[in-house]
Amino acid sequence: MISFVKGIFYDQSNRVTKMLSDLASPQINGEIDRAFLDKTIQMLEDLNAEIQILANSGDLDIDALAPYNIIRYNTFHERLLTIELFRYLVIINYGSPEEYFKKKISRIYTEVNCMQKQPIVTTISNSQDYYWALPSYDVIAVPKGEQRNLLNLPDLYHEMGHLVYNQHEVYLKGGIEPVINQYYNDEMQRVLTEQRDPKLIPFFREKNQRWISGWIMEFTCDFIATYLVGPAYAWTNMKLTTLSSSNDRVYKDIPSHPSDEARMRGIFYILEQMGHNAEVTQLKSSWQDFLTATNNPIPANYNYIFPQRIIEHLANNVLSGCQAIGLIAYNEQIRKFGKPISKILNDAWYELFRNPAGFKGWEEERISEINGLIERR
Amino acid sequence: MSDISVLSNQYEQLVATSDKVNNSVIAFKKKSLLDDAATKAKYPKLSISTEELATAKQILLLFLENIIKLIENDSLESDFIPAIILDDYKTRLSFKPYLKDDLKKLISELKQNQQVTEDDIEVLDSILSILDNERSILFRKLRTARG
Repeated sequence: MISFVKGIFYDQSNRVTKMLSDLASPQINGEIDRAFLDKTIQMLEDLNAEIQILANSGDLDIDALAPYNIIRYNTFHERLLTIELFRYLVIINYGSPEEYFKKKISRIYTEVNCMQKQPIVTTISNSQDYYWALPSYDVIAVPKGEQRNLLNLPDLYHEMGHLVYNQHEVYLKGGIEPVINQYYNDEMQRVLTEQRDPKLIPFFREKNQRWISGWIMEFTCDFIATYLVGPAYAWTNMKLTTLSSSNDRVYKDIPSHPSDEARMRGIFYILEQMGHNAEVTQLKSSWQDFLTATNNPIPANYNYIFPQRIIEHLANNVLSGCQAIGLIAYNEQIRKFGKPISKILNDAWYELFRNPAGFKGWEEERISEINGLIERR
Repeated sequence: MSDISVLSNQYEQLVATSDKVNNSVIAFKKKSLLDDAATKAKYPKLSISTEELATAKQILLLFLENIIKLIENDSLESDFIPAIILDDYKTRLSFKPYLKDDLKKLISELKQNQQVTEDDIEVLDSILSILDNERSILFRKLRTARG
């Protein structure tokens, strides 16, 4: 047992060394953010140092410590896999699509006046995993080949929202937490005073907790994206919701995410506040038809999970927060830049509805246009 | 769209807890091993300082008292356990019917600076095992999270 446990730690160290060797290769794309590369190397070196300290401590020679050493091994292993997935693969796979997204996100950051360090956009994701962001690593992942598509691109603004939220959480969410806590405290009090079903108490506690630990952030990122990209974000979100509908998930919440239905209500509210009334009328009509057609079940007590007044309160906070940190709203981008990328994304949705058969060619032309825009910078 | 950012934050919180608790249990295990003359002679490099033991005790006391609160359903949140796995964690704790009594005894012993016995370490091992499971499950979720 001793030699086995010791051996797997040495193997782990060897894996780290091989990854470090790959990162030192001259074949690494020179366009990769140098700070990201250096930080990755530092993280691998730190991990290797910790493995070496443990190997030299003598702890691995003690049978009685084997169970604890296995836990240490597993934790190191997970750390190595995390670095591999979220950093090493981003660097190793950095190629021309990433160079394109680097220019594109630079353009978007200028158009929306985002003063943050721009993230690395990597194409290591796939269509199933879709778009994701890891704010602590300054990485946004999009599916491979995504540089050839426009209709999903509004979700890039949602992922940017996660990075903005990471830095400006307090300004964006404002004082929503006490409002949510008060709402659920009042509801729990009503359970006692009005002798309602006692099972509602743990139900309310759970939903309260979910709001605080995940839903505020997700709603906020939706609102930032809507503020920045306008109605196109609603259409893209509706497209994504189509996938949920086949699993009866339109009204379902999960710990990290509110229901699609509640998110759409929030997005509509922001669009109304921004003055997109005609677009909201069209969106709401399509959304209502969609809900009727998909006929997903509405869970019991759904009206206590996402009250409209809490969604609107948060939306108002986020709108104020976006203005306070200087982000430029969609309409303002058009006034300032004429045809920002956000405008092209809105045009894309309306072109899809106007001429679906010809959309592919239109999309290719607009992508060339974006290429022209970002190359001129 | 990003489950990953939520999961990543919560996973990092759990790793910090798991590391701290594992290292604290190791400290008491080493102390227990050093109390045995034969083991001490067998492993000359084996050592543990008074400061390391004091830190381990401080961490374990906070952690174990938080578990008691969770078991008694007094607390809906924890500085140690991320919200996303809290329910599952509490369910796993509930599978161990004598855990609350064992932990109360252990907390009392730690507060009175009494010797931590092998039985106590077994209790800590069971807590560690739950933490290890939860960390591993959360990591798998992080690795397979959809955007």
